[in-house]
Amino acid sequence: MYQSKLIKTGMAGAAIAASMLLWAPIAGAATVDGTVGPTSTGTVDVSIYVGDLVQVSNLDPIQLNYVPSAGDVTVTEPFCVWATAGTEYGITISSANPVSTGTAFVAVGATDTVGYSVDFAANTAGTDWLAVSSGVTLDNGLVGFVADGGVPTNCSGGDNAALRVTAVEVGNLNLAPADTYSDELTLLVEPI
Amino acid sequence: MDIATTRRLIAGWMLCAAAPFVWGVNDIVGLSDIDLGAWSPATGTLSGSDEFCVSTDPGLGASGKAGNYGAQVTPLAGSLFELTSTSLPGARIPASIAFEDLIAGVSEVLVPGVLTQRNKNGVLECLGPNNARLSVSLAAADLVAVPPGEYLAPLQFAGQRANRRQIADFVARVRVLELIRISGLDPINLGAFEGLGDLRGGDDFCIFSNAASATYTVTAYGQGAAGALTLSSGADELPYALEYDDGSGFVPVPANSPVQRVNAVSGAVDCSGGSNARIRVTASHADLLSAPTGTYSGELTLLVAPL
Repeated sequence: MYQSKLIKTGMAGAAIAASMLLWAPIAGAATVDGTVGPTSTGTVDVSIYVGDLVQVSNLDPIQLNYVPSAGDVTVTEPFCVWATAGTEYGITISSANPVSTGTAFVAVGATDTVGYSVDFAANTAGTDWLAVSSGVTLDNGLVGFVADGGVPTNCSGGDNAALRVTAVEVGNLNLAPADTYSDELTLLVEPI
Repeated sequence: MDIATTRRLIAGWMLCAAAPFVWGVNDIVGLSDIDLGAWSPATGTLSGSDEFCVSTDPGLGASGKAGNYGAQVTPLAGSLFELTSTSLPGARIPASIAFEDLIAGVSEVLVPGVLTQRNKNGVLECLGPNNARLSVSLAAADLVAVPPGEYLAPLQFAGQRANRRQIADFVARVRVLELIRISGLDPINLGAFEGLGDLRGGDDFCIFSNAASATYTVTAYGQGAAGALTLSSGADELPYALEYDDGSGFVPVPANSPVQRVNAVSGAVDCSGGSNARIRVTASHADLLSAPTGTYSGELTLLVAPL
């Protein structure tokens, strides 16, 4: 009998999030009324604070279709990280399943679970993969990863980062009953 | 006492008795119109004056000095010291008129049509320096409250000693310029950009004009190059758009380009604490997303001018 085992992971990406500093009006500014005369000139001080903003976008569901005896299953999902002026960011990827610990992510079915792993890369070239532990921030040694800083903030439809999700077959997928197993990954991106 | 002596005494008595009935002011020389010129608020109280000469008969006693006289200024139209518009019925500027005795160095504010005490120093002949000055003063608060135009007051000066007076007519004149003021301005803080949408802020303020149906222009200058409407963080610039509402709706205001507005002009210098115009400043979502982190600020200058 043909068995199909499906692992789905969803990702909850933050919309643009801001790292807000305390907002203070401009010191030394001068808003001045005009005087009565043949002409009159007044001045108005205008001010805005632009904080460190980030956005993760272009996220899609990750679906791993397991065919028995076909080996491990891996799917790569590229996405976009944008930050104000293309500054650096750190990323924290967390599983919705409390049983996921460290690098051991767990997808849950009706009666059983399967394990999987997650890797992150700050590129779409398929290189420099970093193993992800659930809830642990990757910050490139506090240097951060370089975000896109253009407009629109979705990398103009392109991508500049990727997730790689892998479920091994032996001792994992091959032992799981046919079912749909799912998890939800949350990606928290923060300015560095 | 012989008859001749008696006759001389009688003649002298008759002369003394007759003399008071002919003593008086003989002449007013050199009194001209008082043109106060054009008033602008920087002037504050506006004053103008004219010096002239008043000659009188000799005073009592054997000193030979000229006698004293009383001074009087009377409006030739109406009963008040006020300058009236030459073009707008009912528009008038209250005036204060003072007389100065230049010999005594004493000035006295006059009451319309009322003769002062007869203690002003006359001269026997107007051959030397003037001995009198009339000054007309107009308060800034009164000047700013009237429509622009020319205002004048026909007046008559009289000098009187005993029962003989002399009169001289003159005109006090002032020109009030068309005036305008922008006031009630407040800083516009668009707050912190949180990544969503445009940032928009505004301010209500007052446009005063002394013209009854004023038309004015507004020109905006930012702090960018050539007056561009931009804010600066010191390292980077952030453009913004400006709109102006004179009560008839917002219209775009480009930098350095006068926009004609016609409505909502107040006759009160500060709109009595209210407002009759407003601006709206908008930083676009796209520009905000492109701006590096920082605080952006700048002065927006608004120049209003009558058309």
